[in-house]
Amino acid sequence: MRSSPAPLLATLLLVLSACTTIPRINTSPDTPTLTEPKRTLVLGEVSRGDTRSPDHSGGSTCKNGGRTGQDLDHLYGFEVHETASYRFEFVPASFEGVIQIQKKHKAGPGHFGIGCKAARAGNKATLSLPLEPDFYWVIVDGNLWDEAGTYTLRVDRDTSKTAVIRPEEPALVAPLCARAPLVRPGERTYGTFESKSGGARASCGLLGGESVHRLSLAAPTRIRLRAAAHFQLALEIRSGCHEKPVVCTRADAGHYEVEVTTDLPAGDHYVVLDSTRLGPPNTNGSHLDEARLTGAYVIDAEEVGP
Amino acid sequence: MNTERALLLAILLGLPACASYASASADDRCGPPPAMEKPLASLGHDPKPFEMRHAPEKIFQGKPGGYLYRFEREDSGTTESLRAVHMFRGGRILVVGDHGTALLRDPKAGWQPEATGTTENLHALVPVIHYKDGETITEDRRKNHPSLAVGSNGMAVFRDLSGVWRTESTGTSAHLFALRHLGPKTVAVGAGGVMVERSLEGVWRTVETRTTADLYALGSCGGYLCAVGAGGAMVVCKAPDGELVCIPRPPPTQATLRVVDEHLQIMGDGVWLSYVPTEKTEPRPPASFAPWSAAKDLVAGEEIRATEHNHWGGISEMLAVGRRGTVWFQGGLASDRNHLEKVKLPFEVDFHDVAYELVDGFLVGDKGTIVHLGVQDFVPDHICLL
Repeated sequence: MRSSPAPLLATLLLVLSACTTIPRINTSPDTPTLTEPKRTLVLGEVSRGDTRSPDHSGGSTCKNGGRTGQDLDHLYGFEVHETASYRFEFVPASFEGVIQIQKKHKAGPGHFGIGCKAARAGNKATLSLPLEPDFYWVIVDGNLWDEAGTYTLRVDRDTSKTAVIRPEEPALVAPLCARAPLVRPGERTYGTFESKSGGARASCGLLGGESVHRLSLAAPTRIRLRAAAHFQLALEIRSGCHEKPVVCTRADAGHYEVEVTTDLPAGDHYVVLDSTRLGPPNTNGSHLDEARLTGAYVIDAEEVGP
Repeated sequence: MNTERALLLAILLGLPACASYASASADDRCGPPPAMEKPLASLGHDPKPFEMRHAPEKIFQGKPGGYLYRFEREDSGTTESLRAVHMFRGGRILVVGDHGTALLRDPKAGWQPEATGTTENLHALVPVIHYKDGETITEDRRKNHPSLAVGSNGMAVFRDLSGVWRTESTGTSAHLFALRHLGPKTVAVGAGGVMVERSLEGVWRTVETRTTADLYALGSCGGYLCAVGAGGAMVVCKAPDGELVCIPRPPPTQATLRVVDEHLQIMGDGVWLSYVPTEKTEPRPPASFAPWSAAKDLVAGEEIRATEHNHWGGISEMLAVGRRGTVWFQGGLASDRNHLEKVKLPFEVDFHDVAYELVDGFLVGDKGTIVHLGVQDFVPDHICLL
């Protein structure tokens, strides 16, 4: 049976129109050319500004609506010297604003957003991010079209109970000590490290995790521990679960093993294995919620002569 | 070929598919149905090939009664043990073995020896598949890759695109048993836990494995590179800053492990290990393995030396080879992975390696043994892509 081609043509046109790129109105190119920041964000100091006198640096890429458009923005540079969690506090006094933290692409030009938070006029936006040493961009922008005004912005180290990188929490570590697998002299101990905020953290480490081992000695012993891991590790020996470290050693940059020799009295000691670096970022390029590190390790223990 | 199967396969593969219950309409949209795939022509050396019927896929049942699998011995022209085989696109097959043996299959002249420039035993062979940025990938380039073989006393030999072999210095005198190509790099492992890594330019360097166990196999283990070997030794490697960092894992078995299969299975002497799933997603911890109970009786007293997966729809399955002519078939892509079948072939030799793609397979082993597997009467699935 033959039928009229009209419906087919109409369908074809419909499909074609659906696939055609429709020009958008009032938008700039997807990848704006950004300048170097004129402003500097200093740890622990309040910065103030008024985006009605904008830097026109390209704007945030996370503002409501999802596209870079108007660049009624201020661009700050923020240099991180030490890996830690950092808390950004942003208060747009007279407009609906947004801050975005951006990191430079490792290869090629341009920056990408690793954290974003918006606030209505007069409200505070707080954003905590673990950051490794680098030079970051912090962009203050209007969260909606035509939004601009005065604001305050500050950044501090974040050691609160919600920070990704934070001090060890005894309540989290006690059960790790209670079920800590043994490290025996003359044997190899295998393990898998999982980062855990507030978990067992070596004093010379960074992330905290769930890797705690027990070393039980019947007599005073000089012991040597060699450890290697898929990540840059730190290794600490304590004489009690929550005691101060007897010794702590960390791998140099680009190295994945450590060795420590120390004299220990008889009794139980705890070996804490930790990482000195964050894990790989999530698909958005950030560590917003967790340090995201896992990897295998081995610890070789041996008694050594005096 | 039935339409439901074509549609289901397309869905499984994530492809848009068209099909119609009206055969004329299907032809209009999809072109003529594919023709029967014929295996490479027999070299005519084996007066009495071994034949068996086998159904590679179990879910759809495929052709009623399966297909005819013909195993046919070919004259290699050597009595040396042949230890590794690779099948290139377009039907070129390369084999290496003891005392520097290398053979290339010519469809008319048969197996032709090549001069490798070494008398060392060659244990492993891989194509060095890497395209440089901006390189035009021609059909000829797809079919023709350089190859790399390694063997006893740290020997490595590189075969360039023109078929000329040259020896390379790996920096180790240990026997090398396995190879794995990883992006621009190629990794080899061997006796005493040695691991060496070759750059695309042919420069070798040592990688610390932190084990002294002999390592016999290399493969991918869920985002990590795995090396396995004697006494159940297992080493997992990753490259956090571009350089391999290898950490031993607790041995999942005391048996010698010889294969890291591409479907997260590890096999060896009387043991077949399968991946233990984890709830954790990204970043994934190193994979764990445990004995696969379904294989227990079928691998007891056996040695699994090599495996190869046939990825073609309708014939997807895994073929494993072992000692005294033993082979195993495991269900593949669109089949029941739990289906494992052991077959004793009438070739009283130990096989060392296998290649298997579409309707051709090659099994190589001791005493210069080369067996060509040809699957007869196979017609590929008729899948229509929009």
